[in-house]
Amino acid sequence: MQHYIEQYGTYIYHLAYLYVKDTGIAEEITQDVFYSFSSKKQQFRGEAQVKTYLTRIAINRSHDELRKMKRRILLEAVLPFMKTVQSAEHQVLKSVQGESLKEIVWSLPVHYREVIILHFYEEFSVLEITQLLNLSENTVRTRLRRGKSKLRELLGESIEGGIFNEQF
Amino acid sequence: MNNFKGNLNCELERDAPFTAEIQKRILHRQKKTNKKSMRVVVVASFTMLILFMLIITNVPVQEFAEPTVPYASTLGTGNTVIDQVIVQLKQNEVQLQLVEEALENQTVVAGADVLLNGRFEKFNGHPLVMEQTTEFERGDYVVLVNSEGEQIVRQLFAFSGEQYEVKDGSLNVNDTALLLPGTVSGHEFKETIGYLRNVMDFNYVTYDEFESMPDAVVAEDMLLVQEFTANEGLKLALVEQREVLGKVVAIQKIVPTFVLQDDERIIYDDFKSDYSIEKLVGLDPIMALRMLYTAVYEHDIKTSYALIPSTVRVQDVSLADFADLVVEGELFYTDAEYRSLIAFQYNGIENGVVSLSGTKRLATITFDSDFKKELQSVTMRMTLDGVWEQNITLK
Repeated sequence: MQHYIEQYGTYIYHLAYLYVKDTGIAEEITQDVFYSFSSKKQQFRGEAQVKTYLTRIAINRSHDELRKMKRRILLEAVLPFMKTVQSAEHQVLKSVQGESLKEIVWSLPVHYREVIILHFYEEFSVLEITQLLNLSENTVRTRLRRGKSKLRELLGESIEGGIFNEQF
Repeated sequence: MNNFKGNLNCELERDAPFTAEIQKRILHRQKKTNKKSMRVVVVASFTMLILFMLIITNVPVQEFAEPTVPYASTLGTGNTVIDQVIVQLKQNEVQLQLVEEALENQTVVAGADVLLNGRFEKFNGHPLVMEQTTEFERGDYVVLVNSEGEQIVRQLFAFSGEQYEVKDGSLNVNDTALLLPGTVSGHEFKETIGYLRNVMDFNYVTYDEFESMPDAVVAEDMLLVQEFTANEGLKLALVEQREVLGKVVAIQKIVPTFVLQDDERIIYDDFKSDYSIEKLVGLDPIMALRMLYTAVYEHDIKTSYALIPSTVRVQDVSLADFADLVVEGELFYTDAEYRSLIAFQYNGIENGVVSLSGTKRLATITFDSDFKKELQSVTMRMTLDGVWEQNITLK
């Protein structure tokens, strides 16, 4: 297991962090991903299969955590004296000045953010993303295009230039 | 590698490195959860528990628990350290009981300037009960009179003759970290499991930072207290002992004023009979909000849930999920504290002023609270069913 944690740990940890915006929760997700993998590792033959499996589990767990956060925010509104998970969006809004690239990525809605991360950061193809997220190819392409456009707006970039080499 | 990936990768490596410690923890937990070793773990845990109980029953009680680790230099490096700090913050917290009314020898202090810490932080602004005394303990909330003749409440951190300094975001008194809620910077906890696992612990670690201060000694006849001003934020201050009138001994209970009258209760009970949304159509925003907070005040989870139908539907929050969270939140307060906090928050909505947006689908209720300096407001929105519902925005 140590071998897999060394090889994929950073990757899974950062993927989860980009979803949930919190290192503590990202660590818990990474832990769960490898725990789930430990009982099934004999079933995988190639490294590609392993990476896809780990990614899928990480995405599912990240979505679970995001759902929990939303529910807590809802409760905070009804019971305003409660202290709950800080809204990540709120944190992002607070740091609009001098914001980093990851904070700009975090400010995207989750459905755009995840395809942007998977495609431009983790370098999965559109087809692979359709399988990872159970979405149609058209949906993934549309989200990529819109997500990228929003990201460029936030970055203040022109369509022609900027930090994306690939024209999607 | 495109520029996006390269730039993002640099940030992640810098801000969220996957350190050897994290790897170790993940690997360690893998082993811990191995089923074969579960029996050993259970037996060992039981033995440890017995030993722990034997130890704590034989340890003399101190004024404050001494920190078991020099945490100021190790914050954020491991969960165990943070957990220990939080446990000690809780142990050291000054407990305040909620009382119906002040006794003859006690007076009620208006709560506007109160700065409580820890679990009681949400009672800031809440009226408190003061007793005249000249005997104080570290951590007490002492009552003083400021230059404008107003009574103010400040937490006592150090006595005359004691040495103090602020270093690495924590307050040290006589070279020992003072583990009281409000004396430890929350800054280091923000991105750690320790902080996140304690998100429901209500500000045991509250403040972003103390300004560093060099060694100093509290002068004769002075006390070191916590100070907070809107301009300067959190800081320490020295006050003269003779300015102190007494100390806070309890929290004054607040009775709700927004609850429903008899004729309104009939409408509310009728809605509760079947939770039919149509029965809410035509109610004004204030009535809709009072119904919601009557349900919240009465711990009526099902009705609270039914009164925010659009939000829970859009966010796909089940009644069971909602109930779990409410119960989890309520565990931190006694029933009386919970009710007093709701009254503290929503008293005055019955006399609120409604202003409608141009589309008439948003309404802002502005109300004057007895206990807060500024006007309070709640936004309502008209759902597609034609019902006013508190506007809760989730992204």
